[in-house]
Amino acid sequence: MCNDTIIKELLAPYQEQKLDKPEQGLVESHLASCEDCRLELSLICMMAKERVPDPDDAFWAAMPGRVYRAVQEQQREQKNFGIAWLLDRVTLPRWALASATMVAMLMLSWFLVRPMPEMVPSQGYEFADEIMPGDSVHVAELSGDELITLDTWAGTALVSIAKEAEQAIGSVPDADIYEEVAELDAGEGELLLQMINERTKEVSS
Amino acid sequence: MDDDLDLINRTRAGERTAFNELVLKYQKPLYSLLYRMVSNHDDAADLLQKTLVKAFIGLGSFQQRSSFKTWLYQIAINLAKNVYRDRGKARYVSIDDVIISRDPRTLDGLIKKEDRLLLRKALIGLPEKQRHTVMLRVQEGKKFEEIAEIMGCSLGTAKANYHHGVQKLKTLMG
Repeated sequence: MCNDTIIKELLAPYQEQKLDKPEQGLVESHLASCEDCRLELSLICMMAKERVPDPDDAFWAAMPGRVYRAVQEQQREQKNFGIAWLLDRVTLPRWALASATMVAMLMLSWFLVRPMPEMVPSQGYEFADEIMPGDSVHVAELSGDELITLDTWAGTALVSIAKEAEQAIGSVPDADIYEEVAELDAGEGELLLQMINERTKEVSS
Repeated sequence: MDDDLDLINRTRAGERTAFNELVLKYQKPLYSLLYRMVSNHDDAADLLQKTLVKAFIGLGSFQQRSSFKTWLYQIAINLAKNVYRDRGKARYVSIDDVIISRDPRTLDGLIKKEDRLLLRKALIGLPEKQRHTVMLRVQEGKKFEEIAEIMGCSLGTAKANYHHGVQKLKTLMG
């Protein structure tokens, strides 16, 4: 096997007759004594002569138009690569997609315009109304006059309760009675009201 | 190259005549390359259209690092590779079948036909890069520098692929 890479690189241009005179002479003198390169040259010639059939003129003439239309089509497809592309790939029929979209929009609308839930009143003390026993009124709902009345009543009623408590425990509480009441939780408040009601009934009877 | 640049710029600007001119200029050499790679008209014509479409859609990305023709060859070879891989060697029939079924005429014709078929078969038997390099060098008359650009490899690799390819062909044909 011949390893003369310079000659081997010249074989293809030799076959194409693209070498100048000195190079051509170099190749020919090498070929005269190298069977391997002669075989390679014949192979190159055979490959080079492998003919490509020429399609008819109509084929060549139509090609620019075909390519242009294909380019335009692809560019259109790229522009439509959005909702239509997604819809094409979803297996559901379009009417089902439209229905699902309507349902989703209705649900969203209902969520946005639904009636607001009733506000839960903040926890506070409820006082029994003297005029309408059994009906409870929140302190925040009382008018100014009602609050004064309540204050007056509490001044007498609670002081008497405080005195009873003092007698029961044998000492006077340090904190103001109003502060004490304000610190009671809902259950304790209920209990206090019950006691006040019972005491009021006793006093009135 | 300057002509090409002018045509490319005009095509980018949307000028239809420049587009047509580019297609008419390169369709024949591209078809020839593709036909040699896929060995039949239908695939070659289809690949030719695909190559040109891909080139014109991606014309904005052509950065003129190589010639427009080299760039087209790169696209064509990449597309042909896919067809070639998909098809494999399934469509190649035995040499005996071809010689018997097609009008043999003379003994000389038979030998030549057999040689051609053997050569085609031997080319198909080469590794992809060697096959493409040999085709580009011998059948397309490309210089090694151009082959290196088209194949995306160094000049040394292009030369090595060519020499190894030719050596294998000689062995297969010998």
